[in-house]
Amino acid sequence: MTKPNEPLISEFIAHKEDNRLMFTRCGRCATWVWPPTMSCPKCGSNELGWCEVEGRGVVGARCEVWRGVGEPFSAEVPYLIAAVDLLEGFTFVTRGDRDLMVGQRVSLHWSEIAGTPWPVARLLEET
Amino acid sequence: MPVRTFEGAYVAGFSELPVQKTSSASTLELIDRAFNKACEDAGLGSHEIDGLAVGSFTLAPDHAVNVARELGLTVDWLAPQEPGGVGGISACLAAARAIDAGDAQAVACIGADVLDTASLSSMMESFSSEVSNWLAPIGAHPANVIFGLLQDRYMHRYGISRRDIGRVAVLQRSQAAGNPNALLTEPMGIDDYLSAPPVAAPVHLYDCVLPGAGASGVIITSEALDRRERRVRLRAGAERHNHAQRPDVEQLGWSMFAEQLFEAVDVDPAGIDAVQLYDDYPAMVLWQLEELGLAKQGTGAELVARVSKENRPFELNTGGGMLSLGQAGAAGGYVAVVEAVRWLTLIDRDVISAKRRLALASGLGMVGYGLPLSVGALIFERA
Repeated sequence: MTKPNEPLISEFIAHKEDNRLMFTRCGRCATWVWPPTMSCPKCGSNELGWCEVEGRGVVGARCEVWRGVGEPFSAEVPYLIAAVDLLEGFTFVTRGDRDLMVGQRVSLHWSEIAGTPWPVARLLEET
Repeated sequence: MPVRTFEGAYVAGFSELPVQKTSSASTLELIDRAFNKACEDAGLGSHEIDGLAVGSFTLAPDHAVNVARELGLTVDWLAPQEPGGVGGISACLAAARAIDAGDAQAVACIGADVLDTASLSSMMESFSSEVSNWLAPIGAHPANVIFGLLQDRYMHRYGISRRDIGRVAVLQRSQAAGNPNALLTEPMGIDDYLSAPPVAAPVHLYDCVLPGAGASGVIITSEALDRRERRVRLRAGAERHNHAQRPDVEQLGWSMFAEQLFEAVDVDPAGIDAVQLYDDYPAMVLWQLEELGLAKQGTGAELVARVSKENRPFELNTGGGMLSLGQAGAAGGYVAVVEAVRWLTLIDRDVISAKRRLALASGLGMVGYGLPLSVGALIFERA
């Protein structure tokens, strides 16, 4: 059984400080690799690094969680998990507003989930 | 060629302990029971077993070799298996190859786990690095959530409704009545399915399998050691791991080998008499019917409607599946395998229609970031 990789998660979360959204990308072939793996699935390089995204995408799928989760999440149900297909071409699974629908354009914003800073999806205000 | 074909590998016996919602037995004890029942079914003494494949999430601190020791086996071939939903297929594929190669004469393949709702939940939190790092912090780690997302994408891609998906659950429940190992046998109509409470919507209660404790075993042997009157042999199979790599895909891996798999046994997909698909969740049954080539993409539910009537084109999940039996972790990966073999042994005994005397079993499992990582399928033939 696995324990969370705290240093890796800390790196992800640290970008909240300067309000940037950083995900992992291959340093050799520039493929976005999310979640990060040891090697790039495309070119095999180990040179994955953090790279900024625009933070916009489309809701590819949504799932409303009602039961089957333990503390601390059981106190928050129902909550929405969204698979956000980012413009950069990879999918980020995160929390989102409960009224989000598939196909809607969303943007990511730093928030806090169960005490952990995390980018969450909000409906993109069309201008 | 990813599809493996087999010449002389037979299913000499099998066992399936009914899933218990709670159990005081250890995983080792359940493995021991399933092993002895499978040997008894095969008419083999444990001294005749010379290969062992074991899959379990709850075996720690023990490993496959410790299982051999506990069962009193000295073996020449040992295979710790991926314990997920494809584990039964993987174990049988490896064992059949070992038999054909002469590396072993009789291999016991066993999947077992002791789980309940609470222990399954904590197991999922630390299921793998990617689940633990990137899904657990936001409460997206349960398998129900991961398959909820996958099902939602599938429903939107093809305009599939919950009513469509419910056909699978209703059909399987109706077929569970004849299965003594089924936990859920009371009749269920489509309205019962639709009115079930949400769990990880679009996944609702009757999309989920009951977790529990249990074990299953299959003994794969050479022809010489198969002592059954009604013989079942392994014809062809394949597995694929980490095929899709991203959760917005239309194919999880079966499409890579499906055509070759049916060619290997010289039938169209429609020529299989009984199709036993991994059924956690019913939406994944539709997905597999399509990816395996039995139905065009987006039309799995229409096919299930035809399978639910008389003059059905083939049999589907004849024992009611895990939706009716519950799932004891890694033992769930054997439900389709055991049912495929059991169904084939009914030919000539019960009045069942079998043109080609072929049954297919499938598996999928080891959830990752928004998708299952492992898939497989195996075709058995009543010799």
